Parts: sequence; C-alpha cells; structure tokens
Amino acid sequence: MSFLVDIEAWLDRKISEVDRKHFYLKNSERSYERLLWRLLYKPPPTWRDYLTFSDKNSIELFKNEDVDISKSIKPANQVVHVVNYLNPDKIKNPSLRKRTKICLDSFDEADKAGVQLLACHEAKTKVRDGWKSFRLRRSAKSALNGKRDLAFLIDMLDAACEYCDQNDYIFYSNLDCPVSYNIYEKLLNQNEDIIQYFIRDVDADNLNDLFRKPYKIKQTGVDGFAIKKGVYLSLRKYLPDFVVGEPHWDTTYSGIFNKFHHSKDNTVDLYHIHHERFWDTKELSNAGKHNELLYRDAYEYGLIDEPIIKLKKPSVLLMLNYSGEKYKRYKVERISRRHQDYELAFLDLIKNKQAPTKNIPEEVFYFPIVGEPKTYGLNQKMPMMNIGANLFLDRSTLNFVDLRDHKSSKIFKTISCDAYKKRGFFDNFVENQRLGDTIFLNDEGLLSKI
Amino acid sequence: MSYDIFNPKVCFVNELKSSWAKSIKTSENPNKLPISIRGAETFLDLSHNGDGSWCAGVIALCRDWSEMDVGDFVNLNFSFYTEEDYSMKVSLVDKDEGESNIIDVNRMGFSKGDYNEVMVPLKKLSRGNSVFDARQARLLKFVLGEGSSVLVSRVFLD
Repeated sequence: MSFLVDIEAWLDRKISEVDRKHFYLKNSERSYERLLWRLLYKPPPTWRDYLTFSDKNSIELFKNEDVDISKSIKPANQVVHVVNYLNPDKIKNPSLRKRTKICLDSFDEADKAGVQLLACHEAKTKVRDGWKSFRLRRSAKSALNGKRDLAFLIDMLDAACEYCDQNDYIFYSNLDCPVSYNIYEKLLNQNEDIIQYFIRDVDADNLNDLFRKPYKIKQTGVDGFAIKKGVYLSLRKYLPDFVVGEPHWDTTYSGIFNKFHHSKDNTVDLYHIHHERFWDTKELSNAGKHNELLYRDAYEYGLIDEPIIKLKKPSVLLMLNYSGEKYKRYKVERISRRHQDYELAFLDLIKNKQAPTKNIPEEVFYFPIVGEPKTYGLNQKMPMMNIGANLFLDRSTLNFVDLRDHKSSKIFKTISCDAYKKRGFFDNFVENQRLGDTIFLNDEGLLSKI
Repeated sequence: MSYDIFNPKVCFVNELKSSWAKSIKTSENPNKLPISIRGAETFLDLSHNGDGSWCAGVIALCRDWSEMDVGDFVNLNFSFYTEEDYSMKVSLVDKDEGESNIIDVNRMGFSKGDYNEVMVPLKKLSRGNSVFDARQARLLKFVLGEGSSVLVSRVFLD
C-alpha cells in the first residue's frame, strides 16, 4: 500500500514539474498558448497554487506534534463558520440591529453545502434555525469587567476545531458582515491555507441592494478570515488572546499570518453595510485596552512586522491622462467606482505651471507628471504606460485605461508583469514615428523634442 | 490585576524598541536595550560596555512612551540572573522626569549564580517622595555599576 502511495506521490511530482515548465503559457500574449495552458497544464482549482506559493516558515511552523501536515494540505471537505452571535431582537441600537439582521439573512441565503454555522455566545441566547449554539466560558464582560459580552477570538476558533478535521476550514467573520451567496463554494473549490477577507463597504438597506450597489473595498482592515484547522493549530501559539468587536485583532492576526505563513486576499465575498465607524483610542473600553496592549506587544516583540494592514491588490489599473483632459477628478472617480478590485493609480500629465489635480479619491495612487514645452505636442501614451508599469512591477497584472474613455471605463491593454518584464518596455516611439530622429526620451521618461 | 512591562511569551526581535540604553553592550542600536533568549526565557541583557563607571537601561511603561497611573498596583516585580559581582539600582520616573525613591537591589541580599525574583512594593518607591507622581509614571530605570552584567526578565506590576 505504501509502495502505491509513493508511486502516486512520484507521479504528482512529475506532473508538477511539467506544469511548472509550461507556466509561461499562462500569461502568453498568444491566445492559443493561453488555451494550451488552460487545457493541458493548468492545475486543478483544488490544488495549492505552487506557482505563486511562498511558504516562508512552513517547516518551522509545522513542527507541531499535534498537526499532521499530510492531512492539513488535503482539500477541505467542510467549512465551520463561527461568529460571536447576537440575537438581533435584543440589540438596542437600531442601526446595528438592522445590519445584524441583514447579515444573518445573508447566511440564510448562502449556498451552505458542506458548511456548519456555529453561533458562539457566553450568555444564553436564542439562535436562528441552521445555527449550532455554542456557549463560551468567558467574554469581555466576565473576564475583563467590560460592558459588552464580546467573545475572545481564540475561544471561538477553538470551539470551531471541535467540529472539523485538520484539512477543513475554520471561518471567522464579524457579525455585521454579510456573505456572498457562493462564498463557501469558492472557498471549498481551492486549497489555500489562509484567506483574508477585505470587505466591500456598501450603502444599502437590504441584501439585494448590498450585492448590486457600488462598493468601496476597505483596504486597511480584515473583517474575516478562513484558515485550515491544521494551520490554525500550528499558529495558535503565536496568536494573542484578542477580544472581537474592538480594534487591533485583525492587524495582529493578519501580520502573524503573513510573517509565519502566507495568506491570500479576498475582496469579493464579504460585505459591510456602510455606517460611520469611529474608534476612540483615548476612551477605550476595558476590552479595547486589553486589545491595545496585546497589539503593542505583538509589534514590540516582533510577532508582526508592520503596525498596519495594507491590502496589496495583485492587479493594477493605471488611468492615464496624456491628452490634457478636463474634469479629471470626476473622470477618475467614475472609473475607480467601476474597478474597485484593482489597485488604482492615476498618471496625470500636466503642463509646467499647471497645478496637480486636487481631491483625487484616497484609494487612488496619484502621480502628477510634469511636462515641459519640449514634451508638449508629442504623443506620450507609451512613455506614460512605461512609467506606470515600472511603478507596479511587484504586482501580477497591469491594466491601462485612457481617461478619455471614462464613460465606458474600457481597459485598452492588459499585460502580466512577467510578460512586461520579459518584453522590457512598450515602444516609446511607435506613436511618433513621423518625427523620426528629432525626439528622444528625457530623464523624466517622457518623449522630448531635441 | 497585573501589567506586563517586559514579559514576552515569544520574542522575535533583538532589541526592545520602547527602551533606552546608556553604556550598555549592544550589537545593533547602541541606544536600545538588547534582548537575548535562553531556552524558553526572554531576557533584557544589561551589561556594562566599559564606558564610564556606570550604565543604565530604561524601559517605557507604555509602548508609546506615554504615562500611566501605577497607583492601583502594589508591587513592581522582576527576575534577574548574574554570574558576576554586580551593583543594581531600580527606580521609576514620571512624565516630568521626577524620579521615585531609588531601590538598591544589592541590599536586598540576592546572590550571584541564582535566578532571583525581586518584588519591590510600590509604596517603597514613592513613600516620602514629593517629586515623583505615581499617577503619571512613564519609565522604569535600572542603573548598574561598573562591570556589572545582569539578565532581567518577567518585569511586571501587580
């Protein structure tokens, strides 16, 4: 039997080697090569994406006697979704009551094949149909003399462990974050160790509006995560004992996930109904103070390397203004609204004495590029594409939009960063061939007349 | 109720960011206290580097160097280990640089070669001292004599 397992493992390794050799086909500019990739070499979606895998500390990480690595790398069979459950009927704040109801409705609506919903709470609470109730032994109220019975995150994750195997997912999310219909299906159809969910913040009154209306991705916080049970047990010794519903747990957990292992980001499946959020760091509750001390220690003692979360989106959308457009802020906003899943950047070619564009949305990287009289009148499209591409070579894909196309927001060029690096640059002179030898590329990267 | 000043369960850095060092042996930043890990224990490594006749290590009570009220706590606790003859004094400093009474650890009778657990009643630090304000304490200060080398751990208030 063990001989057969060895043979199977050898075959898997050989197939992986062949796949890896042909990875360049994935981002090829030739459509038939991309087709070949999809038909012959692309690994099944449930495989770990070894091609982008960067497992910094896994050997150290899995030196945990309680964790069987061969079990935890298998695709998950189920998801245990755990929340700090609140009965909406008992919530006094009308806004929170409504948001919690909508969130619970989203769980009702979601496709829950292979999913267990686990409602954690310290006080006796009535839970909706479809939820399993789990009484916690402590909360911020009983353990920290807090006003609210907020749960400790570790307690909920430990509770979820009782209901799943090492290869299964434990999913935690805040209870004011509705989930998409197919969130679990997508989760079970891949095999990442950790997925962090960044919310889509929407102005909405009901579920229909929530999934339909324009959204903004909150890039500075994580409101949910899915983690393989085996990976959680390996990382558990590093995870501080945070209370949910107060700041800092997400920054610290995210930092630990990325320092000691690796994680994927998801920006499409967790939502949030927009409301004013304000953390008063001067008037912290007991639970808030508790979290703050843990967070500061985590940073002080090197459990996390960065004091903040910053979502790094793999695809970049570069908006180009090289033709003296007017109403630029409006146009940038319009394009940005349609492309929230991209890292957004605006390259704005302005004249020598012209002021940079004001009030560009804060999620957009703004790069004013100042021309000079010798650069005027030349087509700077390719030079600006090159400038933009070189700013984001650490991402996976570059996409370009001409600001003039703000109505359709049409992307006129997409290229993978690998393909761009292989190619070297876009031909700066192709759009200005009639000028022949009378132009050159200046130090700012713009075409200039001699 | 307890409050950890330096009491990490796990540690992945070589120096304490919220600290200040004077004439202490360091391998990286000369102004930060070095951290060393021996087995499962994490220590602040306070060793005189030979400059002058004394050295000092200061730890911020809060990570952001802000002041805190220590009036509700009873004791300052820490452990230390040394293999050499040593001289060590400890005190608290408030936000206006007012210093508490200075406790001479040598007088407490701890010997070298042992892992010593020290408990200093906070009353002892502030009794009869009109300069130090325990409601606005900011720093914990260790001053060591010439040639002293001490490993300090488990620093907390309770």
